[in-house]
Amino acid sequence: MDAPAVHVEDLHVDYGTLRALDGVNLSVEHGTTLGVLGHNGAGKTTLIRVLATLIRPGRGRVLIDGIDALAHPAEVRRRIGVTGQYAGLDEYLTAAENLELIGRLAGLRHRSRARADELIEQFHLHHLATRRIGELSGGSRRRIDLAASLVGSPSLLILDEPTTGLDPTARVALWKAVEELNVQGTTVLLTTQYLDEADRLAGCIVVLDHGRIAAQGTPAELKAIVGGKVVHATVARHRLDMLPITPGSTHLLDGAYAHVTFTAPDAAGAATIVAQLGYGADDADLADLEIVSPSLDDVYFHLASQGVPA
Amino acid sequence: MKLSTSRPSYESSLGLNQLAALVRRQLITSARVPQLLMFSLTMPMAMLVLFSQVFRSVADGPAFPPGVSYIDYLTPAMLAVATVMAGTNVGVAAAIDHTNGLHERFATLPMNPRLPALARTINEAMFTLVRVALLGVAAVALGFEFHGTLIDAIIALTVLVVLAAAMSSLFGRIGERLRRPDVVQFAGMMIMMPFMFISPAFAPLETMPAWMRVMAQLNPVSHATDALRGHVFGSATIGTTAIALGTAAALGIITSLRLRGPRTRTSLDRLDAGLPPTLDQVQ
Repeated sequence: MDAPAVHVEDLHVDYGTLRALDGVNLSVEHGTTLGVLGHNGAGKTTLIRVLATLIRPGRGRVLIDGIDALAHPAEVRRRIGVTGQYAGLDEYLTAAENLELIGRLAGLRHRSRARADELIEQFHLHHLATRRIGELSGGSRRRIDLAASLVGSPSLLILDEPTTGLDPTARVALWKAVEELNVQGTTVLLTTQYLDEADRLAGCIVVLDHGRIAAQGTPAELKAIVGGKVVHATVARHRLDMLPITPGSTHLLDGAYAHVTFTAPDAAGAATIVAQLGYGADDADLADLEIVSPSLDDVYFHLASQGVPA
Repeated sequence: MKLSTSRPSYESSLGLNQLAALVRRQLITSARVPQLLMFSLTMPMAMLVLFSQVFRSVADGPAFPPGVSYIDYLTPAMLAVATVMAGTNVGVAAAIDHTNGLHERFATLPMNPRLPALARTINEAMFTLVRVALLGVAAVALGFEFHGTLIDAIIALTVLVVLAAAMSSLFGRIGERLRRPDVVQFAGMMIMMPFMFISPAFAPLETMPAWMRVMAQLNPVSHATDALRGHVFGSATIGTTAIALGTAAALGIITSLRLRGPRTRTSLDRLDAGLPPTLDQVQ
């Protein structure tokens, strides 16, 4: 297939006077994961809801596998699996019954039962299969909900904050499931507030801010926005005036120390900064020193402090 | 860009398969909340017993049809009213589908968006038949007699099922609109009252003020009560039954229409989108 799994052009969504999406363009290749990052209200869920055919944009174009989602929503619904922020399951049915129901509604007819069994096997849900959803923990529900969104073997899986509220074990299990789906050729689009999650799963990341794309690229590209290396140092306060270079940020600590950071374009630059910090300093002047690669958090806060280019 | 308004075509046998799955789901969930099922089926019986004893003096009033026992007068009305009361449950069920995310799940599946509401209506029609059986047993124990023919009985059941479908459609719509089970419960009671009382169900219309008599003309429960009484007394006319079926069908159709064209976004849409309500919506 030549068309990308998802192609979005000039997407605008308004809620009354509030512009939730303001000209979003993006493309996702088959078998990859796109991570959508953003603070609360940035437009992540709105984007998900447009792609899931739940709301129609005021303006723009949405193509899923080359199919116009606005003109042919039913066609698109055959190709997508959606997991919202809240599990879409019937509390009074068991996990297996929910999966079978969704299979029938997805048009699998008599194959629904077999498909439900397959997913129970694949997601190791045996111990949950015969229990009613209402009796299960939030984490278990989300796993079943994820299985439910895969009943129709979608080519595009849309996940809205899939690991919010999950314990670390369940998070890692879901990450593995997403990675496995990518390997099998399923395209995944997920929103998250967890930067480590986007870093681990997404081949490409979009940072949304006030309905616009603030930055877009691979995790490595985004980290390069901030700079190559970050040097964190805890220095004596009386040394602050004597620092050879001006720190990117200074934060006074309790007692006689201050925390300073420097950004350097590369490892050599970081080494120079470290050497200058150490020059003429005795034990008491430099309490701690660390050189790190920027995390997506750094990117995120960097973008937040810069604002979005209009 | 221009949005296409053409509607997707759905393979009809697939549609039936999907509908059957939804009806089955409603039956299973109803069976798993036996308390709700039990109370919704037995409450009309309790009301029949109490009303037949408390309001029996109505039969002595000058406007009451002569030669009719109060239990024969009350039972068909109670059947109609029980259908309205059960409608509230349909609204709550629709709202629960919103709160547990199923409504959205359904909306992302390749099926006709009307099917969930249709499934609720079919279920409600089934429960109506069960309620008729239970209420019938209680009524006979209280001295009720059916004076009509077998055809009267069949037509009476048809009127009840059509009324049940209309109520299911109305309350289902309310449930989908209000989306919160607790709000729907109260709104349902509020809406249920005029349907029940602006009708000849408990007292003859002639005893009511003129404006109520006018409103009763628009009330399908009122016409259903008249038609059911006709079939119970064996004095039914085609006109009364036709009006009962017509008004119920009209209510069902009007409340199942999907309004097209641009619609105003509500604060609920904003919440759906993860946005905070605007100030004017909070006030």
